[in-house]
Amino acid sequence: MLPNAYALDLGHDVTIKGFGTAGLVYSDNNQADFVASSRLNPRGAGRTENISGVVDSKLGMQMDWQATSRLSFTAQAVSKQDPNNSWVPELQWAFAKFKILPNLDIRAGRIRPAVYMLSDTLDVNYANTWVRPPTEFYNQAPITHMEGVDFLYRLQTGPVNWLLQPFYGNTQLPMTSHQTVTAKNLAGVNLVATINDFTFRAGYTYTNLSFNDPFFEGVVRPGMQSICQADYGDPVACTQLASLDPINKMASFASIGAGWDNGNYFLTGEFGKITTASLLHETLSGYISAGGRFGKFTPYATYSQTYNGSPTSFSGGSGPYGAYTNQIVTGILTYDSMDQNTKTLGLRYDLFSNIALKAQWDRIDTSTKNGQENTGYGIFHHTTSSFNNGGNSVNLFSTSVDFIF
Amino acid sequence: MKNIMFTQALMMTIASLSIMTAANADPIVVVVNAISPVTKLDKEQVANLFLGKSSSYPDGSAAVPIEQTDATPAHDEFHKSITEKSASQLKSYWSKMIFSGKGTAPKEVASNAELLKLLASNPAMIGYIDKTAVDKSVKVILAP
Repeated sequence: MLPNAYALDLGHDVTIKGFGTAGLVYSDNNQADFVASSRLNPRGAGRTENISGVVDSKLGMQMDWQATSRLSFTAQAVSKQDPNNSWVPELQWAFAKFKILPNLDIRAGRIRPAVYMLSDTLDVNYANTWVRPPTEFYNQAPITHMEGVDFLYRLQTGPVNWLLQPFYGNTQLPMTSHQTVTAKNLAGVNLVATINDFTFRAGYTYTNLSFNDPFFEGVVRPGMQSICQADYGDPVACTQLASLDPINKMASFASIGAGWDNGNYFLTGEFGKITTASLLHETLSGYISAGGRFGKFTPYATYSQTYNGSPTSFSGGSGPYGAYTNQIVTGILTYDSMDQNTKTLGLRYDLFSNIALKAQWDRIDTSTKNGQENTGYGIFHHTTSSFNNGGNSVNLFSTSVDFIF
Repeated sequence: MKNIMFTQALMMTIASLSIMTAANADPIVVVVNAISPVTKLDKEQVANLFLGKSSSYPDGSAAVPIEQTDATPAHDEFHKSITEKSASQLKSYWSKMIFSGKGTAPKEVASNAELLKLLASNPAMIGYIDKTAVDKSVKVILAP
């Protein structure tokens, strides 16, 4: 058995390896928590504590067993802040991989759908230049894993290396605010073409989404039903409920990405669009990032933005209860992520070949929808009402130590 | 006429410069077992094998790349000229592949001698060694 630089060899073709991040984030705004994902992280930097260690810190361990030359098993557990504010390690990947042909693999088990260009490395910060992937874009489709299958088909045509990765699965995941998201029949494709220093990527994911939200189920849904069913009630409440109820609604995420990296300089960006049958969260998001490598130093700059194209207010209620319809529907429409952009400057320092130090400044701006209240919180979490009614500007300073072992 | 002479002089200068550059680092060559049917690969094909982007030779037979550890001068020279990745970039690249289960990094040996010994045992293997270490047991398929 030969050694391998990236793993500890336990014999019998079993290897173990890991990755992790120790990060600190300071926010100058105490009215809201900055979180890496508002769907997944209940607490962050700002309101809960002005310096937070929970935003980026994590530890992952992976075990691989190469059973035969064609069959292998992989399990990866990651400990990080989860939606219930617990740090119990969770299996992010647990799959069997079989090599059908030299250039075609199938994986079955718990896998991450390749929704983004960087889906593979969302937890492995060492593999990315930045402290964290741009939040506006990487907050959009928080399906971290599913039970399913994917195929990895690699092909070379002339100077182009292709990767075609179709995937299918189902999942149920906890989210913040005691929500549970269920994705049924999640199907998609990830297509990557690499030509010399250029990478082009296109992805499309389609699923049937349900959000189980105790507040919606306990208050909003019965409230709207009673408005609609009451004597002289408002039938509009029923039609709005049918279109906004977040159960069994088609949702899709289409995205494109491109990168250029000649070893010394890089330029990369992604752009994505969410379409849903529920009207909520029709977003456009994207980022562009550039940097240069000067020995062990890699300075970089990023601009990242998300725009929520869904309506944020409703005034179509009718009859004596119409005002209630309007109020509740507007409440639902503003219970979503809103518009935000971030300008980032950062520096990565490769201390050793498996440890990187990073420091990053983010200037985050949120904006309201024409001054409407409760539309100014961007993708911040755990916000105060004054923050919700912003436009806000937040300065964020992050440092991290990222490592693999 | 003057221009031609100038061009000749310039080309000779460039040629001598590139010889000097080549002489600075020990050149490496990419080798397979002498009995392997593979005769020639280009830089791109070799890079693809060592980055796990392909796992077979042009004839479709399986290829097993073998790395040298990053403590060896051959490792630096190989990655500088073939994959064009620095040590950190290489680590980043493999951490992406490994922690998503998309690939596994090649096995490693610590010296030219170990590589030669290993290659002799398996005609599917492909490796790189210092040019001066080449012996009859292997066949050079790329000399960058």
